Amino acid sequence: MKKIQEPNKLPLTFKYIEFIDRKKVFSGKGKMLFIQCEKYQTDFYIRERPLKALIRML
Amino acid sequence: MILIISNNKETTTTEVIKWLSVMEKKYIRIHEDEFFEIKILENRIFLESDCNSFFLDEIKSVWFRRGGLKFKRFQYNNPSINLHMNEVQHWLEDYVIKTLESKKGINKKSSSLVNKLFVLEKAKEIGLDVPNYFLTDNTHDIELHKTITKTISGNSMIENIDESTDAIMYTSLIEDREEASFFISFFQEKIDKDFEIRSFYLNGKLWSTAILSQNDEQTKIDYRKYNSNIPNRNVGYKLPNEIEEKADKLMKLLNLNCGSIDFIKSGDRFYFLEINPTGQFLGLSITCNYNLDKEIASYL
Repeated sequence: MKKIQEPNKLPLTFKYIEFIDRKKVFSGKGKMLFIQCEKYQTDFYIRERPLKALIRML
Repeated sequence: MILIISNNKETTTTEVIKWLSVMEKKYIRIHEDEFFEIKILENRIFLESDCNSFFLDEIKSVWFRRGGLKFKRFQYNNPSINLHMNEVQHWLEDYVIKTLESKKGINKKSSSLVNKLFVLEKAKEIGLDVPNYFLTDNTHDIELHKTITKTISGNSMIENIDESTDAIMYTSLIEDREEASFFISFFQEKIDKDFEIRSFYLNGKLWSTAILSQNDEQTKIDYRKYNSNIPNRNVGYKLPNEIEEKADKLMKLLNLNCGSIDFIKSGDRFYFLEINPTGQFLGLSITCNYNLDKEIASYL
């Protein structure tokens, strides 16, 4: 557990804070790939995996 | 032309845009990192950033999703002239924002940041059941195991708390007393719930989902602590008309025409928790086949 150290008092919600490791979120099985997409005007278009059921149907 | 004010990473915006493309509606999506210069072109107000440009009068509707419209400002060497020109530029920007907010649209920058405490007061005035709440900086008088704490900030996420980490503050049950005092915090009576309800509101209509989070230790206090192994069951739900009417009244009072509203059902009572005008709704929309992305695209 990381410790937050601040000179001033923080709300009690900080006692219950949970940390999320971004490396874990963006790696492994649940990895999300973002690509640039001109049509939808974003740099963060999620490259989705086709649904398993759809692959089976194909 | 539809103006969409959003964030680059905002995936819900992309899903709505997919529908706009299908409906052959023209749109401009602007992001948080764009700064617009206000110009005059062909005797019309023209806004230009590094990657987007549009005439103010060609915008027919606006979706304020997240972020905001930001402007480039010129600086002047003489401090007095600089002060004066800051004001001149402010009024020009204000005119652009007010003009956009007067058009047909979904939410407004000026009303999208709601104060949770103010909203609870107004909800009570309207007659919605609200669990007892209070602010304090110590736990002396708090009833343990029967009180929760949550942030009064609109965003419970703290991004980049250090180089590789984000942090999130979930609703938490108070089980121990604190010896020391802390920064003023929000506390609320814990309600034993039958289930949670998240409703999406758009122009007087509500689409609700019951979130059966009460039987899982991980999700019983805050359903956003998703259990990916055994996910909560979510089902379409219809709130009683009386609750829907009060929710509609509250949204109108807050000058919001879109947002997500959280309730808890306990026995025959529906407790109002909070409103999130820019909350995520696509997950529940997909589960319940509500097609809310299509609803938004149709309205714009």
